[in-house]
Amino acid sequence: MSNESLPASGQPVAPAPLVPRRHFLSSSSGSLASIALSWLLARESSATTPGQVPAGAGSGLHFPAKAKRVVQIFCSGGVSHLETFDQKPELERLDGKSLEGMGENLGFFGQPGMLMKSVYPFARHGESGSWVSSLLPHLASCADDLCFIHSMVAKSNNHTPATFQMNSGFTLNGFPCMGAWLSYGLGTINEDLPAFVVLPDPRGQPAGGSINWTSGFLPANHQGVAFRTDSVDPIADLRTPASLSPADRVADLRLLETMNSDFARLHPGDTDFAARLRSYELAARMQVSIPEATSFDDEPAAVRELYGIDDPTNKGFS
Amino acid sequence: MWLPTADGTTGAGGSVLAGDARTEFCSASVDPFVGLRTSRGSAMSHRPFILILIAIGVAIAPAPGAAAEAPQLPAVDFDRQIAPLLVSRCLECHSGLDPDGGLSLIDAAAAAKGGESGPALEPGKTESLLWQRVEADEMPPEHPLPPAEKALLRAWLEAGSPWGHTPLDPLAFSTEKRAGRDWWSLQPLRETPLPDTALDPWARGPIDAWVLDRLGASGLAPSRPADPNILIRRLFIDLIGLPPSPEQVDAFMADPSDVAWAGLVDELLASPHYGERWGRHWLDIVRYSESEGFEYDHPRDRAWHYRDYVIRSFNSDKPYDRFMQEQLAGDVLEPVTSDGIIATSMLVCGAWDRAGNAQANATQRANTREEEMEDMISVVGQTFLGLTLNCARCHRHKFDPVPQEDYFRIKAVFDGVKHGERPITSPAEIAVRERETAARTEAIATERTTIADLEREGARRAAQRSQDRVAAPPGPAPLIRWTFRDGAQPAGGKLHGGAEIVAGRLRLLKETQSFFESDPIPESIREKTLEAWVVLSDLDQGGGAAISIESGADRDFDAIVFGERQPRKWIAGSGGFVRTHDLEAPPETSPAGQPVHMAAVYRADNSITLYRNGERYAPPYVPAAGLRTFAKGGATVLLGLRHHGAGNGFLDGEILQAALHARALDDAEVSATFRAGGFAFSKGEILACLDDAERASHAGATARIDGLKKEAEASAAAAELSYVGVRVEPPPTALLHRGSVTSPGAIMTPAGLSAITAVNADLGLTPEAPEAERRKRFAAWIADPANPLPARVIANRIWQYHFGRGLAATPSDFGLNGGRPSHPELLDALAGELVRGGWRLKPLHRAILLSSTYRQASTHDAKAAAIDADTVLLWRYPPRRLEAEVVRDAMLAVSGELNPTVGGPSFRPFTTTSFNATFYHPVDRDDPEYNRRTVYRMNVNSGKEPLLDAFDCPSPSVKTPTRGETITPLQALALMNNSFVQRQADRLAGRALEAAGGELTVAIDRAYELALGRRATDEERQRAVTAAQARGLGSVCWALLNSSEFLYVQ
Repeated sequence: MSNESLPASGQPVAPAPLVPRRHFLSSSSGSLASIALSWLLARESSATTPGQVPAGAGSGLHFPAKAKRVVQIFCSGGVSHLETFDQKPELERLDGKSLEGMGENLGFFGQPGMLMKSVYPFARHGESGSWVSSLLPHLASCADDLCFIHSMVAKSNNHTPATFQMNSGFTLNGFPCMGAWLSYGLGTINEDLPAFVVLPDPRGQPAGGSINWTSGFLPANHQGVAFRTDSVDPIADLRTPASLSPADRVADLRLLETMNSDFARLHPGDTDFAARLRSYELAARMQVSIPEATSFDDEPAAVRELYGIDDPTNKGFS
Repeated sequence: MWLPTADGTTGAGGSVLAGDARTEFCSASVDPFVGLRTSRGSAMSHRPFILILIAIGVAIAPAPGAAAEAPQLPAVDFDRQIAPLLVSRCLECHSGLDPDGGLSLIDAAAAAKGGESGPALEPGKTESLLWQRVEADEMPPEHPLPPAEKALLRAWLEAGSPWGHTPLDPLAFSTEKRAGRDWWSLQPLRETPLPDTALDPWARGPIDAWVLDRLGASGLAPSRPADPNILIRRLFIDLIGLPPSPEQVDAFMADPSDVAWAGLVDELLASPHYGERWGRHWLDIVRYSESEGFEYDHPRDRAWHYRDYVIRSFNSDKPYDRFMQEQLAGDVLEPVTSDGIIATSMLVCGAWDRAGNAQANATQRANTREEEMEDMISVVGQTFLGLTLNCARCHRHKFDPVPQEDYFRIKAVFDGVKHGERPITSPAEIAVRERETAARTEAIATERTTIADLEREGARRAAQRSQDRVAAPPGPAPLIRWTFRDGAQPAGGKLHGGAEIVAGRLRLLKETQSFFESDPIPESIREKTLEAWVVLSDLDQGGGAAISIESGADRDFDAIVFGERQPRKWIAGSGGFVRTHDLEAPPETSPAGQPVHMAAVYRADNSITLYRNGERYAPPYVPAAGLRTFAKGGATVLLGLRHHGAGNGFLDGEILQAALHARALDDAEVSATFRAGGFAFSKGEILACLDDAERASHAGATARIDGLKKEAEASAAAAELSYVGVRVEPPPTALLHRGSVTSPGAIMTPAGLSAITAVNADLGLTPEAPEAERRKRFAAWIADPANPLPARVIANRIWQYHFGRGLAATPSDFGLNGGRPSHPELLDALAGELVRGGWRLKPLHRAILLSSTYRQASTHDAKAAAIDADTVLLWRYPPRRLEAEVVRDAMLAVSGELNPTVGGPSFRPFTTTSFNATFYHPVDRDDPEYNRRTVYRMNVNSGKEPLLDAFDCPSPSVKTPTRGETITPLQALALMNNSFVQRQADRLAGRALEAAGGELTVAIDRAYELALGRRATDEERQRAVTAAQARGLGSVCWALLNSSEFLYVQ
């Protein structure tokens, strides 16, 4: 950012000389993003402090990151918090009454019905005494391993803006979602797979579709890569065209590599060209690793059964 | 004028020109800094003064400067010395409605009153609380005052703390944390005499002089000129987004003179492809979308007019002040033209929350509208002013001098603008068309009377002949009536789910998802009457429809729906509730088994009336959305289902019979149809009772109506609609405390931005001013030549797209969080020249393209990069990756497949499915329509195109002032495997072979020339021959399209 390169006098000057390696990482400010930057940082981190991902250069993190990966499960139209983890004594009291004194008593579709208490009784579980309803007996047994956030409120009573808020913090289109921020902040520790992957419900996408995993105003490489959970090809253009033999493709890639290396050699200071070479290497590795990561063929039967992989109702979820 | 003239000669003059240019520049200037422009000597002598001005401009606290001079002054000057100090050091916290510690320092009274710790100042007391805190370095927290400022403050206190002009304006001066009204971008455009470098032989004009000046100051030098083949490819990609042909490259290599270069520049600026390329940049900035986003993301089939308007405007070099005004108020600027109306799409071409706008809850609906307004205000602020005005919606802007009042004043300007389509016909055309329509309507009415009279007579005779005498006279004959007979499939449609016919009634059971769907309706339906006799099994059910007419294409519908939004009430349901109102009507009470007659009448005046048992169920209403046309053969009638995909849309009950009339029945007719008990003779029975002459008369009238209807349809098609938004006269706009619709405050008057002091923000309006007047005057305010922001912002954008980076690096944010310009004098010079030159952009392009700065080589230099890694100072031309659209267009161009058709409806590289929402599934088709330039692609929100996506093509609803430039493995995968890339590689191979007469080495050279603008080297040719012999020339072409050299401009 150029405002960082301005001294207090306000007179614009060139940025101060940088240490060569740092320079390599930050000079193209984002243009190397997920390849060189995340890859190098992740590799560096695994070499020095295993398991810890450092704050990425230019990522804006002030502290070393503790999280290595984040899994967010968002059930659009899923079971209500009032029937699962959010015990509401007041709702027991007001069961069957209409909602009063909270402003305009109109829902999205008009006049709502009476208030209704949870159908499932709640009980406290674990040492923490967390409330979980009888609907989730197995999860309740792990109550102490869970952290419940009860303070979240949606600004909209409408599916899509509220879903956007859940994913990005804003009810409008076009703001980076949580995954994009995490990709931006944490980079990736596995260079063979995209940093931010989305697994949509194979029966249909949430309202707003890909708007829910957009990178918004962040660089586009931080947007979610939606795996096609209903297709043999998890992502677009992963597979070498059927018309090409693997040997021909390898030969083509060799030719391309020669062309691109020649070009990179002619432009020694422009790291983008080196990064492009590297991007083909990673692409080739993704062609192997993504099908591996999304395949269950090698899982033993016991594991398959445990996950319910062969149960048709679980299709696309396991 | 120092921008080159159109004859192409001025740019080539070297140092002589530079000298001339400086003189011209100076003598042409009208500048408040009088001393700056007389001569070089006097300019030099004023240098320190300039530096101070700049320092203030870039938010370095002005107080130290003032303080430094303090000791020499006889007395402390409050307005000049103390006010800036208090504002910049204290008022950020100690002002406003809720100042820190309860202490406000905006005037003497407030300071004397003090805060929680007591009075800050007391008369005659130098050692006041204020002084104690400052003296002890407790205030300002973390940033104690420097000694000079302390001394100044002390001097003021000792003088008895005399105040000057108060209350102090906390936004007057910039501080380290916020920009004030003295912020650089808000100041009038400044003219600064050219530096000495103007005389350097390298400098072809002022641009080069400023660039060279800054390079020299950092110990850098410009690069050598780029090679002609590199330069011409750079120019083509930059100006028209397509690579040059080998012939064009050869011609320029043969004569790379300045004259030839200027000629090329002019040729490309005159090309229709220029607008396609630069219009696309503009569409990025204004978040141009062709689908509505949010929940439904329905396509906007008629939004493309704006895209064409933008392209046309760039191509015709429309003055930018006019371009701005048209997009804000073109629909009300006299004389109103079709183009002017289309231009205002800019306000509404972003995402729109259809569901949120149609919902029942008024508070949430109001919230939805506020979000919509924020989108509109943000795009106006960021696009034209380079300010994030939207940040002041809930509170004073955190970083820029924009009070919350300003946000709501500007909101008042646009409060009458709503989303939607309307005709883009000019008023003159509309007047003619209205006269024709009125005549046609009258003629149709006359013919209808003839038909109705004949049919009434026919029906009377039929009734006489009928064996079963009917009690009531038959009702008006519908277009189609559906009745049900036991033991037979119903005529004119099919049963679905568990629907069955029992005792002559269609029996519907919600659980079994039962409904009846008619055959496609054989006529186009606009005005209409829906009618059904219905028995409700249960009065507490909700969401089911008695009758619905549904369009197969987009699942929009009109229906008579029970209990969906209010228990036990009927509504005229519609897709997204756009034509639905909740009705003041009594709840349904009909006992079980008792049929109810329901009718809904949709009139040409867009009013909708519901009838129950022959009487009005509620007063007519006019919905915001217009009357829907259901296309001939494209719609069906559903009985018992609201619309396909509606989970709660099924009815529990029975339908006795139902009918669709292709016209709006009046009250008497609805009453008659009810009293007839659903009984009517079929048209056939009626006609059978007429004699030959009467039948001929009936047929004649019917034919004439058909003819008139066709004319009307043709006329309606010509009266083209576009997504330009609709207008209402809004109620006065109230400020919303914390942006909350439930906390309205004072009424706001439509006005401009108070931070720009050079133009009066008071537009002379009242809060009740007509909608049109508000936008018209605001547009004039924006385009006022004294308004410094628009000229700076657009000059910077033009620069940015030529060099990959603006002189200010954040092109839509010229506030505190934005980048400061790297060459402030140059930015102002370009902006000033733009205004003086009548706001035309092409001369600005020309000045940039003819400069030595632009024509440098892009060769990397480690030493220079160590000083300026980001090439901010332009020691070389920064190499850039092609944008997504250019990658695709360039592939089409080199393969010879590019379809150059300009304008018109967008091509749709996807299929769609609907389930309430529209879902887009990208497809790649080998079809000329799909080979048009990418700017003509239908730009939808949730349909992601893998190849474009991988090249950082943004979501259309995101305002994108700068494109990302990433390199990812997904990008490599797309280039490797995408079927489009494969195909273009094969076509390029075919094209090259054909041109070479089948000679492989010649074909390889041709492919290199087409793709890269150069011949292959011997080594490359040898490699390519080997590859092509083994795997075909397509392999080599695939590698060329994947190569860095193809994907970058150097």
